[in-house]
This record gives sequence, C-alpha cells and structure tokens, in this order.
Amino acid sequence: MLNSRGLPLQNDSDAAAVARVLAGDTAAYTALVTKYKTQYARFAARMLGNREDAEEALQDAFVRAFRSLAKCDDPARFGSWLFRILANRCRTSGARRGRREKTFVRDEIALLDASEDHPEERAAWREEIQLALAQLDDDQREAFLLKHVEEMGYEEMSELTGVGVSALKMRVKRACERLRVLLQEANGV
Amino acid sequence: MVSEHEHDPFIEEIAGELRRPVRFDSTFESRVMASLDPSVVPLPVERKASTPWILRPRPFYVSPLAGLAVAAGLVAIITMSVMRTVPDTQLAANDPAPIVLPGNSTIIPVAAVPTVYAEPFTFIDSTARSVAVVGSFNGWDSTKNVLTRSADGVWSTTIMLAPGRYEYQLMVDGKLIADPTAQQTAESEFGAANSVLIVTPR
Amino acid sequence: MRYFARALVFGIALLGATASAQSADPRLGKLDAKTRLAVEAIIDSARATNLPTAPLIDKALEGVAKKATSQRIITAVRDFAVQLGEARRVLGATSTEGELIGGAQAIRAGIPVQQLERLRRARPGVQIAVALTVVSDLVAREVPIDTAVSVIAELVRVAATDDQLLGVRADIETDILGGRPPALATATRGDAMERTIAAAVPPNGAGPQGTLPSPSGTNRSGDAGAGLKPPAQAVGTVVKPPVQRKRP
Repeated sequence: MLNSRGLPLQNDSDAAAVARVLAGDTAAYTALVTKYKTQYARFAARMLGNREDAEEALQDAFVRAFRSLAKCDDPARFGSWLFRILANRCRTSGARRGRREKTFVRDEIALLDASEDHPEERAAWREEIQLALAQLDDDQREAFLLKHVEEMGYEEMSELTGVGVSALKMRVKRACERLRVLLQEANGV
Repeated sequence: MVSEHEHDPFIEEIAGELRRPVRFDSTFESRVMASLDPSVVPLPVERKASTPWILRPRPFYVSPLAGLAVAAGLVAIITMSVMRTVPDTQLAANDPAPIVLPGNSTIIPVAAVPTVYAEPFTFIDSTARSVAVVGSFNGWDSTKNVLTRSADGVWSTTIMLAPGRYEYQLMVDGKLIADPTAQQTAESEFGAANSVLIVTPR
Repeated sequence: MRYFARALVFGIALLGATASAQSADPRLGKLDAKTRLAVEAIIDSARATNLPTAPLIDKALEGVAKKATSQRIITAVRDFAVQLGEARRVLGATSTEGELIGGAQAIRAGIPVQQLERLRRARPGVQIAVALTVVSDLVAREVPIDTAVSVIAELVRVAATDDQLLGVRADIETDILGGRPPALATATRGDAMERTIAAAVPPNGAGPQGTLPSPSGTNRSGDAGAGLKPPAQAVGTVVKPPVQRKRP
C-alpha cells in the first residue's frame, strides 16, 4: 500500500517475496532487488552525488538486508527497513569520503540522469544543484531529499528515519535556506 | 512553527531537477545476486527430520511416595523463588548495615526509599466535567490521578513523584490535551506533543 | 501416565508460569494479542541487553491511551529501544535510566551523537539527564544544535545544578517568545548563569558557608549558587556575540 506519492511503506507482495526467500528460494530476492533498485537509485545518487558510490551503497544495502532478512520484523515493510539500511550506508559512505573534494564532471552529471537530451545550460544548472546539495549536512540532505524529491509526508519520514517530525521539519527548513543561499550566490543573486 | 517551503517556486525548481530518474547499469541485479553468499541462508530452513531422541516420550516407573516427594520439592523451590521477588523486611545486599546498640540489641534500618515530592497539577475550566492526568508516572491510566473541581472551576490534584523526568497530558472530558501550564514539551510519536515535568530534589 | 510424571509436568508448568509472570507486565494486557506479542518481544530483547524496560512499557501504554494503531505502537516502542541502545553506546554503560531516556529523546530530536558525547565529557561523573532534556528542548525551539550543546555543556562543566539548568531553559524560552533570536537568547542567558555560578564561589574555592565545594557528581539544589536566578540586569549587559560555528 502506498501512503504517499513517494516510497511505499507497506506491501503485501514484499511480504510474500521475503517469505519465499526465508523458505530457501534465494532467487525470489531478485524481485525485491529490481523493485527497490528503481526506487532507491535516485535517492542514493542524490545523497552521494556520484553514480559509482550510489551503486556501491545500494548494492551493499541489498546484501546486508539479505543477510539479516530474518531480523526484518515486518516483511510487508521490507521497503522501509531496506531504506534505513541504505540511509545508514549512505552516511557511512559520506563519512569515509571525508574531506575528499566533491567535484562533479559534467559527464558524471549526464550519467546520473537518464535523459539523453539536455542542453548545456541545463546540465550546468544541475551540476550546481548537486554541488550545493553536497555541501549540506547529511541530515539536512537526507531530509530534503525525502521531503521534496521523494515527496514523502513528515509522518512517513519520521517512521522511516526514527527521527521526530519537528526535527525533520527543522532539517528541511535549514536545507532549503542553505540551498537558496548557495544557489543564489552561484548565480550572482 | 517551522515553515515548510511547501510551495516555494525556487525549491520546487531545484527539487524538480533532482526528481529526474536515475538508472543504474542493467547488470546491477545480477551483481547483487552474485554477491549473496549461497552458503549464508537468512534463516535456517525448518527441519522436518524425525523427532530428536531427547523429545521422544519414554515411560518410566516410580513409586507413588517418591513421586509425592519430588512434587513437594518442586513446589517448595517454586514457592521460594516467588517469595524472593516479594519485598520483605529482610535486608538486601545494598541496604544500610544494622546498627548494634549496647546490650546487643539491634536496629535494622528500613530499606532506603526514594524521596518523593508533592507535585501540584491544576487546570482551569469551569465547563469541564472530568479532568485527569495521564502520563509515564501512572501508566497513562486515566483512572489513577483524577483532578477535583473547586467551586470556581479550578481543577487540581497533587501527585507524589520521585525526582525524574515525566511526560504526561491532561484528559479533559475524554480528550487528551497538553497542560497549558507545562514549561516543557516533548514530541510524541503518537501525534500531539506531551507535556514534560522534571522533578528535582529540594 | 504414572503419578511422578504428572507431578513433574505440573511442577514444570508452574515454573513456566512463574517465569512468564515475572517477565510480562500485566498492563500490557491492554494491547491486542498481536501487538502485545510484538511489544513483549522488543522488551525481552531490551532486557537481554540490560536496557531499561519500564520506559518501553510506558511508551506502549502511551500509545494505547492515545488510541494509536498497532503498527504505530510497535514502531514507536522499537524505535525507542533502538534509541535507548544508541544512547547507552554514546553515554556509557553506567548511565542512569534518566540519562538513557534523555539521550534517546535527544537522538529523536535530531541531535548528533557527537554532541551527546560533548555533554558527557563536559564534567565526568556528573549526571546529565536534565542537561540532555534541556538541550532537546532548546533545539525544539530552533536554537542551533551547536549553540545549545555548547552553552549547556559549559554550564555542566562549571557544575550548574539541575535547577539552574531548568531555570536557564525557562529564561531562554521567555526571551525567544519575546522575539529574541534563539541563538542569541541562549548565549546570553548561558553567559549570565556562568557568571552567577562563578560569583557564588569565593576565590579560595570554599562554599558560601566556608564548607568545601560540592564534590563533582552532585547536582543537588543545595550546591553553591543553587536557586540563584541571574540578576535582572544581566540581560542587556555586555555579552559575547553568539558562537558562529559550523553546525555538525
């Protein structure tokens, strides 16, 4: 069942797939991978800023989820459980990268986006957006992406992240303020 | 309290760009599946083997008297273990040591009890029919701490509380509301924020 | 079946009933069977790792009182257990239940664990349950996390009592409601309280009545400086500018 236009939080077919995997049908896991790869690729890519790290983080999250599948309390909510693993993995990935300069080559930005057809100005603008996003704190970036990109409601975000609604609203607000400053500066506003 | 930038065109433009789909390599799934160690099964498959020997029933024979003796012993063990969980006047390991007086009589101090403080709760509403406090100090039970109404519509009660932090709400005519006099609030996973009371030693 | 076998079965049944009675809180009977099973499993796990279980039971009962759905109750109790565990990891295994609850609250409020570590390190041996609660409250009022933690950690370091911390919180709230920027209100009131505490301790380090200073580790209201509100003229006197530090 979808509770928002964003990430699903409860799904009976997920429960069925998880049950089959736990019964020994490892191949049934492919369906979950295919489904959530599509849904979470964007989030991972926006969080980490480059496709290579995003693929690595999502692959790692799937593997961890598989190994701990028996600990998933509610298989119908596999998606949100997997998301928590992914979000933690993205944070770890971010910390490991540390102060490594986050430079984005235009080709990288092009690879991130599926569309083949984008004018130069659009590509430059997207690069600036990704650079600005990278300058946010992990908490703020995550909250901003969940709210404005994945279009979740705050209650769902709270259930997904375990953080209170007020704190999430604060993070989104600060993220928006910071992005505005960074992107308006970049455009000489 | 916090503006949400819900309809901010600038933010919407940024978000619109970020919403563009991202596609990974088509070999992603196969790489994930290849990473799964086939020898690591998430959960052991339920064994359908024959019943282990230790679970198979076996008959054995004992005289009735021996059976009674064993049963009595079991009951004694159970009774003693239950009694140990019930507070009694015997000293526990951390209680103060007995004080021996001249003449070898002994005063056994009562086990230390935490100091409690009288915390007042008041609510002003002359039209309310019932008011209670529910919170972490009474299991959120609306029957435990009911306020009484004075002639001028002031509801009040006093609860004895040990030092600590408590979250609570007022139940007014069956509806939960925050305490208007509470200094602090705490967000709740169940919707509206709880009022917070911190009792400090004095 | 022989008499002995019957007695053995009866005895084992009694033992089992006693054991389960000791581990299950009867108040959880207010939950429906499925929810109760899930919640008790979480509580059992918490107990097995020596986390306090009373707060988890309270959380479930809160959900019942607020007529929350089964899933919401289970999620809330589980999240709380995770946050308690995280709080213990950060604050230390010897933390009190109050500190763990305060730490869990802070984590839920979005305060990074590194900031909780700062509070713990501010004055080793001192209980920081109230400090954690005050920081969470300030952050909820839009005081930047770094400012809130810096100010409160400093007050903990100079042995502010719990009453003093609560008093500072109340004054900051008043200032914010009066229109002062949260960061400025916090820095101002924090500085004022520090000066109050410093002024209450004579140069030789002895207490007001010539007694020895309070040992570290006590937050009793009887400590030096306890109960003293910052002098009215403290607000508006020369204050340091708010700390401008990058948020973690």
